[in-house]
Amino acid sequence: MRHLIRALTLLLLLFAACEPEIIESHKNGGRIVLEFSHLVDGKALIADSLFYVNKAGNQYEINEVKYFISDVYLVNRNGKKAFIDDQTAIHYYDIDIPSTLDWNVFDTIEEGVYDSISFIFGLNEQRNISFAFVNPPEVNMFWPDILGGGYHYLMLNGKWKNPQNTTTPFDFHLGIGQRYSGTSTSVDSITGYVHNYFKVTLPLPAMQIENNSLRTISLAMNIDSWFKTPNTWDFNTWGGYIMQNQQAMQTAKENGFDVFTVISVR
Amino acid sequence: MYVTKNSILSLKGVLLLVKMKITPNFRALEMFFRRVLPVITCLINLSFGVYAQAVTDTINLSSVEIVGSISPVRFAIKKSAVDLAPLPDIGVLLRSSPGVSGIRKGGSAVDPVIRGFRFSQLAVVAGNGIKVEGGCPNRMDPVTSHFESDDIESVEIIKGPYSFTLGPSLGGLVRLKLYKPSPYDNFQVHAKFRTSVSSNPAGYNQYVRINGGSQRVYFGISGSYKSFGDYRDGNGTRVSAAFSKFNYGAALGFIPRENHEVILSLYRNYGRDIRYPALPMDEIVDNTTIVSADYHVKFMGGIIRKLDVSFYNSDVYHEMDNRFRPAYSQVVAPYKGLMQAVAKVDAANTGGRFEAHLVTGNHELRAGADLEAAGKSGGRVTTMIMNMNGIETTSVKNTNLWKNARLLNSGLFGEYSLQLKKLKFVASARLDYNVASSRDTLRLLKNEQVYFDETRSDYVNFSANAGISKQIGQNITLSIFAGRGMRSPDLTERFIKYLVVGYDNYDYLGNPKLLPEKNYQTDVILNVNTIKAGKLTLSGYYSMVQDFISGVILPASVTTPKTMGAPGVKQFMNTGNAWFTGFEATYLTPEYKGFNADIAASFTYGIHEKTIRNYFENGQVIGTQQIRDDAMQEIAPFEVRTVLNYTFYHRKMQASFSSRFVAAQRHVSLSYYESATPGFVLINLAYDYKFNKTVHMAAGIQNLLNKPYYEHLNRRIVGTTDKLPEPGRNFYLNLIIVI
Repeated sequence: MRHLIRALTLLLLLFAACEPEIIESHKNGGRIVLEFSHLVDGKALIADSLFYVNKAGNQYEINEVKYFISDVYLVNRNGKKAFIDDQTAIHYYDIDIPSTLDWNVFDTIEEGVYDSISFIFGLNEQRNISFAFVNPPEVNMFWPDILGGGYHYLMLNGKWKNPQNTTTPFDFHLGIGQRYSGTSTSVDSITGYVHNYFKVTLPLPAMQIENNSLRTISLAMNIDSWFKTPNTWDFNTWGGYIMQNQQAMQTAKENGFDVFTVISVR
Repeated sequence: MYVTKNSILSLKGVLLLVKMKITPNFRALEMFFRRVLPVITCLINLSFGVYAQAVTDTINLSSVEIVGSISPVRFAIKKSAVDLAPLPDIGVLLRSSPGVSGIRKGGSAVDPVIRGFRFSQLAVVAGNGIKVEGGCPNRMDPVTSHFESDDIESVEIIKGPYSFTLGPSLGGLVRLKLYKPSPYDNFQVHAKFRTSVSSNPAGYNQYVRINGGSQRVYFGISGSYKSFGDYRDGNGTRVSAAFSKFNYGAALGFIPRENHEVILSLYRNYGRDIRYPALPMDEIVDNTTIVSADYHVKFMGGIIRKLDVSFYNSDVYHEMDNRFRPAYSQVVAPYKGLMQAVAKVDAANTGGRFEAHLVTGNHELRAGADLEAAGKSGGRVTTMIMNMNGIETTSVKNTNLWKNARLLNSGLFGEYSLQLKKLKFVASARLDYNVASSRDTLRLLKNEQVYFDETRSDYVNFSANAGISKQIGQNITLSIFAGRGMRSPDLTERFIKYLVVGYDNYDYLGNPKLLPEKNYQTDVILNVNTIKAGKLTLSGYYSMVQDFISGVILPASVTTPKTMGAPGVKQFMNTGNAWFTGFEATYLTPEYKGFNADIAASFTYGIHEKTIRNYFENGQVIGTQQIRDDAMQEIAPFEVRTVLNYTFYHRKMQASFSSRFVAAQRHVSLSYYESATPGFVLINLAYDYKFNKTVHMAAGIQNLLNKPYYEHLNRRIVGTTDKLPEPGRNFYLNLIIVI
C-alpha cells in the first residue's frame, strides 16, 4: 500500500507539472484604435446642460448620444483598401459607456501610408437585421419591425426650449424610414421603407502603419453640425420625434455629411 | 401470493391509470397521485398484508439476458442502491460511481460524465438497446432523464471503448437495465410501492408497480409521480430548481413456446415546469413515449445458444421558455424591453438490433447488427416588446434550431471471448455506416470560407478492442485492454443553430462537415480479492482522442449570437488531439463484527493539444491566442469517498457513515474561461431497516454539516459568474413495500 501511495503521489505531481503554453497570434502589420470624442461648437460636449443654441436659435441640451458605425476601411497611398471586419465590422459608441468610445480594432492593418478612412454611419441593408444583437447595450438600439426593423443608427436624445419656454424632450433618431400612403403616419398606411445610412469619408494626414505599430485615429462627432449644414434644423418645426417622419430623417441624413472630422492621428 | 377479491378491487384504482387517455391531463394525474394513490396504497397494503409473510412459493424465472460485455472496466449500480437513493435522479445516482461525475444545471437531470467523456461521447442506452434522442439542445433532458428511476433494475457502466454490442461507444457505455416482467409457475399478482420524501428540496416521489402473471403470460404496470420544490444551499440561499414529473408504463411478457419469449413494453414520461437556473430557459413540457418489442430464443445444445431481436421507438416532445425569468414579464436593466423566447422541439429515435450468441467449447461469440434512425425538428420564437415614445412595439423572430435533421446509423458487431484456465481473452469489433442530413437553408460564408452550407455527410466508422485477463495465483487478476472507439458527430454537433449548448454561455452553431472522433484507449486493471484482506481494484487508463470535437469562436463579422446573454458564437469543429488519463481505486474491507468499509478514489486529467481563445480589452476582442496543452473543460477533480457500514439487529439494520473528500480543481481550461473551484468535504448519514421481506425503510441525512459547496461540473447560474450550488442539509425517508 505504501508503494501504491507513492506511485499515485508521483503521478499527481507529474500531472501538476504540465502547464499550458500560450502563443500569441501575430500577423504582419500594425493595429489601430478608433477613438471618438463628441463636440459642440468645437468644444467637448457637456451633457445635460441647457445652454447650447443651434443655428435656428433653439436652446438645447444633449442627454444621450448612441450610434453605430460599420464597414470601416482605410485607403493607402496605392489605393488599396484595408477592410476592418475580421472580428467585427460594427462598432457601437455611447457617451455613457466610456469603454465603447475607443474601438480597439482587432484587424491587423498592412504596412503602408494611409490617406483616408471611410465608414458607414449606421448599418447597411445586409447588416441592419432585427435580432442581430441580443445583448445590451446594442439591443437597446432596436428599431421596431413595423417601422422597418433592425436598429437605430443614431439616438441623439436631449431637450429644447420651445416657444412657450417649456423644456421639451427630443429624440433625434435615425434609422429605417417609412413611406406612407397619403398624409397619415399610421403604421397601417406604410407602403415602403427607406434606408437612411450614409457613407462618411475623411482624409487622414498620411498615417504611417508599421509592423507592430499601434496608431490611434481620433475622430470627433460635431453634434452641432447635425443642426446646421446644409439644412437648418429647427426643433419647433420638426418636433421631438422623427422616427416616423422620413422627410425629417432625410434632412438629418443630409446634415450628417460634415458631422465627423479627424482630430488627430498619433 | 394469490389474488384475493379485495386485492382485485383495490387494483382497479391503479388500473385506472392505464385507462387514461394517451395524453393525460397533468393536473388530474397530479391529483390522482396526491390524493387517490395513497388511499389505494393503504387499501392494497391492508388487503395483501395478511399474506405478506406467506410468500414463499414465488419462482421468478430469469428472463433472457441478451447483452454482456466481457470488459472488466465496468461498474454496476444495483437495484438496492436505486431504491435507497434519496433523490430519484439517475444522473445523481451515477455520480456515486468512481470516475463518474455529472453536469448539474438544475434540480434534476444531472448529465453524466465518465472520465471526462460526456454527451455523445458516451453511449447511454436502456434495456436491450433503446436509445432516446433528447429534445433539448441545452441537454435539459439527457437520456437518463427520460426513464423513471424506479423502473430501473440496475445500471451498468463500462468505461472506455470496450462494449460495441449496443451501438457505437467512444468513451463509455451507460446501460439502464429496465424492469422486465417474469413468468410464474402459477398465476400470481404482486405489487411494489415506493414512497420517498425529502426536506431539501422539499418534495416526494410516489411509485407503484403491479406485476404478475403465469407461465405463459406475465405483466407489469407501473406509475409514478414526483414533485420537488426549490432547494436551499448550505448558506440558506434558495435555488430555483423545482420540478414535477409523472410516468406510467406497462410491460407484457409472453412465452409462445418453450424457450421463446416476447416482451412488449410502453413507457410514457412527462415533465412539467422543470427549472434550470444555469440555462437561459426552463423546461415547460416534456412528453416522452418509449415503446419496445423484444424477442428472445434460447437453444439447448448446439453452437447457437441464443437469438435476440429487438425493436424500439422513442418520441420526445420538448418545450422550453423563459417565462419564469424576470426578462419575460418585466424590463430588467440594462435591457429596455421584454425579451421572451419559446422553443419547441420534436425528436424521435427508432431502431432495432439482432444478436446471436454462439458457444463452442471455450469459445464464445456474440454477433449481430443494429440500426438507429434519429430525427429532430424544432424552432424558437423570440419576441421583443419595447416601449417607444409611449407606443408598445412587438417584434417577433422565428428561427429553426433543427430543420428536419436526420441521422441514420447502421452497424455490424461481434464480440469474441476465449476462456482458458487462468487466462481470458476478449476481442470485439464494430463497423458503422453513418449518414446525416437536414433541410437547413442557412448558408454562412465569409471571404470564400464556408462555415455552414451543404448538410449531408456520411462516414464509415470502425471500432475495435482486445483485452486479456490473467489470473495470478489465487487472488490476483491482471487485465490489460486496448481499444479504438469511433463515433460520428451527433445531430446537435452537426446541425444546431444558435443555442447555448456548451459549458460556456456562447451560442453554438453546428457543423455538418465535422469528422468522426476516434478514441484510442488502453486500460490496466488489477484486482486483488482475498477473504482476509478484502477486495482491492486498481484501474488506470490512457486515452487519446483524435479529431476532438469542440467549440471554436466565430468572428462577429461572420455571425452574431441569437440568445440573450450569449457573448458570441462558437461553432463545433474538429480541434486536433485531446488526451485523458487517470485512475480509479476501490477497496472493500472484509466485514468485522458487523463493520465494513468501502473506499473509492478517482482522478481524471485531460488536456487539449491545441485550442484558440480570444482575449479582450475593455470588453472588446483585440486578439487571439493559441493555447497548447490547455486543460480539458469540465473534468472532475480528485476525489475520495469512504463509506463505513455497521450491520446489526440480525442483519436487518444497517447504519452508514459516508464522506466525500473532493479536492480543489485548479487545472482549468483557459480557452473556455473556466474558473477554479475549491475543494470540500461532505458527510452523510444513512440508516436502513429491512423490517421483513415486505417492508424496507431507509432514512438519512445528506450534507450533515449543511456545507455550502458546488461541484466543479455544475454550470454557472445564468447572468452571474457563480456556479450553481448543491443543496444544503437534506433529510429523507424512503419506504419500500414489496408484496
